[in-house]
Amino acid sequence: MIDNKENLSKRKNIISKLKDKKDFRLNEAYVPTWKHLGLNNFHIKDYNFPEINEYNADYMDFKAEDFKNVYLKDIREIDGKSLTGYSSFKDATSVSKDFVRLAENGFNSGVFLKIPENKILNSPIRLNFNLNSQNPSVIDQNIIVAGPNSKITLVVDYYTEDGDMEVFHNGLTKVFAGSGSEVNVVKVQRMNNRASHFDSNMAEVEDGAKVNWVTVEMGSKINVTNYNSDLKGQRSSADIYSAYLVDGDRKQDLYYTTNHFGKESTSNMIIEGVLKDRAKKVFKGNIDFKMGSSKSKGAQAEEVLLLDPTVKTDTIPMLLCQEEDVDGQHAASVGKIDENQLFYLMSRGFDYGEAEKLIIEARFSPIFDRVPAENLRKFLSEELRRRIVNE
Amino acid sequence: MEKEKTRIEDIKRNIYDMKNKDESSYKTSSGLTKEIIEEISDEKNDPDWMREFRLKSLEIYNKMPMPSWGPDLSGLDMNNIVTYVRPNTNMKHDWNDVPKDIKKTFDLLGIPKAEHESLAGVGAQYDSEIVYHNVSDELKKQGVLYMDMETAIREHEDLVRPLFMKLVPPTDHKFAALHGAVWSGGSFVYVPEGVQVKIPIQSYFRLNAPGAGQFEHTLIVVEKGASIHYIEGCSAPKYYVNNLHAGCVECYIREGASLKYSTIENWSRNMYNLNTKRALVDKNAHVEWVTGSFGSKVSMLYPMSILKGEGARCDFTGITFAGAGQYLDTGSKVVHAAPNTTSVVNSKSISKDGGVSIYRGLLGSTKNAVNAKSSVSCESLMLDSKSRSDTIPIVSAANNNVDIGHEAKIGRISDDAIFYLMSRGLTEEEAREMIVTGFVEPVAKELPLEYAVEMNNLIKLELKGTIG
Repeated sequence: MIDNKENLSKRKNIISKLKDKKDFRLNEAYVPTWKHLGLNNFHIKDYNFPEINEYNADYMDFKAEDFKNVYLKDIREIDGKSLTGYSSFKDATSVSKDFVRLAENGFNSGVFLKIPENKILNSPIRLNFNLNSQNPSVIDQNIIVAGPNSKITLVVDYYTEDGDMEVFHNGLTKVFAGSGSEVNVVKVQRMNNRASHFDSNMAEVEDGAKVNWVTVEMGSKINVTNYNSDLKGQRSSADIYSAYLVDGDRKQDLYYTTNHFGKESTSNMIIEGVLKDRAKKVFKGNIDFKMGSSKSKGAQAEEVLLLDPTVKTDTIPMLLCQEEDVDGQHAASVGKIDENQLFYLMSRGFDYGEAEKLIIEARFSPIFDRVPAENLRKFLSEELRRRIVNE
Repeated sequence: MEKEKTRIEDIKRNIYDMKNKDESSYKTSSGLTKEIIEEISDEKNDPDWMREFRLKSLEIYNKMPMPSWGPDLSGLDMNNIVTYVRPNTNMKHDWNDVPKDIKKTFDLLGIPKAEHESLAGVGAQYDSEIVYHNVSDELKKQGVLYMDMETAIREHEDLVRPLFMKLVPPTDHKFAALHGAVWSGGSFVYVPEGVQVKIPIQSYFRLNAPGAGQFEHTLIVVEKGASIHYIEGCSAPKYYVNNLHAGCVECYIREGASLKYSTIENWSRNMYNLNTKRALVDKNAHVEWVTGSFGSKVSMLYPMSILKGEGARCDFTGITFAGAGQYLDTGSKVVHAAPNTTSVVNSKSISKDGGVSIYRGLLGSTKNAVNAKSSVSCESLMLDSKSRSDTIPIVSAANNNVDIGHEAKIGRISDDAIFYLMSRGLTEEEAREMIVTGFVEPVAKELPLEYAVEMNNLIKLELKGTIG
């Protein structure tokens, strides 16, 4: 492993600046609205940026024989210069410019993947990040370059086994989906209630290519994620399937943007959320039809279930449109669990918690089903039980 | 074959654009200083508390920043806006006493005719002062007060003072502070307990002087169990300097009362329309906003309803039509602050010829809003690709016992709908006209007849050739 000194000193430099900062405004909306509501960004005050060390455990998991002709490397083994070609996305949204800079120049893990033309990879590559006392911080940068008509699935799991360890994750995933390719990125975040989780994701989608983002957010004290898809090509498409559960005193800010540039491009955002205890959540979603994106379609739907009177939810679903011949829709619904459903299940012998869990699981399952790893799906189901039924 | 597009004609502005010579009897110099505020206060013979209020507001204005979001307001140079223009007349109660050119303007706008035919009371403001105010004898007998704001402050201080700019305090935003400092004109409406006013009353605001601002203050109090329909119309001729309208509307709707507030706003295309409207809705009371925004260069207008009492209701129906050079940032705010409150928001917008129409909304519910129900629906129609249409709603909940739904659609006239209507024997032009008329219908039907006719004339379809 080349842990080049240059990288290390860059990281130290960036982190020392972040340590001085304390005050962070993340997920800054590029179309701001009423300031007094405090929703234009996620403001963290007095945040002590942690020390970032190396990540020394193995995290890559894949079937070697499937990846024979694929350029697949631990990003730390790549000469910094060869990464500069993949630092585009000037106008993309992100958790913040600082956090992206940290991931681009100070990563301690990640993969670089280049899939040749026409290569279909049906088995996923998995990255399993176990954050613990030996490896309390992950700064991963992942770059996926999918050749024309190729297909790839990346599954990333961020988790903690120790409930009390204060851990930190900041990530950046960049996808370059060549024409006709399909890239699936699945992220599961199930870290403990003391964790900080920041994740920026960006994709550039060429003609006829498709990017599917699947994001499951189950943990972290502070959870800030950002997904930005640029549909550059004709008939390109990008979907986001997102499920989240926020409980305890946790705070979450999600910001998803799909920019339609190409003609006949399509996008979907499906978000299923559950808020419990004193959870606070903000979701901002943009569908932005740029001039020239004629005959494009974009849809967004967020459903939020509120389990306790002490939760707080804010949703800003934006539709921005500079093109006449498009079809954009968004819908948001916020409310409590349907009492009739609960009553029915309880009349069939389920206790309250089980009935509640069943209803929530029914909402989450179309998204959980998109996680192509059985053990992870099982973890998610167990995690749901632990948080909804047992607590 | 090259397709030709449907043309949807721009709003005919000839009657609105008619301008009179600026013959005002008194004008403050442009810009904003303590001296100017004192001058306005002297000119208006303000009581001391009002003079202090104005000066305080000026202080707040000077401290507050411009909005950091929304449309570009850099074209608005406060140093060039004349804040107070008094027309060369005193207030009249008979149209025949109103100076000729001013009366002619209102004649063309159809105000005296409408009063004669279908209104119980009329107020007409020309530049900074109300020039005409009349209320039918029947309303007077019922104890309804409808008068210009200055008279109300002098004669009904007990009613006005505790409420004036309490709902929209000068600290609300920069233009509320400005309003507090320089407000002039506007109407005071007071409907006593249990009085049902069957026929609408109307105020019409006309800004004639170039480079001036209009800052009318409207205060409406509807007491327990009473009801009224208030109509507001606005227009101004086009000059080459920018005008500013920063009015303020405060509505107090007491227990079981109801207020319907209709506006057709057709300011000229050099107007910055930065207006603030707010209603406080008590137990089982009801506010209904019907608003059409057609004019102005830049608009920032989001009528707000605070559902403070249990069972309070709010209905909002709005349409925005943005043509060339217009940036209309409009919407609504509803805050559910009590149990069993309900709100329905229905917004439509059309943009064409490079116009920008933006729906900006807030739907909030506090901890107390148990069983609050709300539904918001926004639809935008884009008529060409030079234009822009954005939807920026906020859906916010702070308790779990709510049922909130929001949906929005953006797009063009669907080919399927056209095809269906054509298969039923309509021509393509007729089909298209029917769809656009149908699109605005929910708003049109909420308006009094003559306003609905005016609106339909505003959105007149001109069709030629095939449509693409």
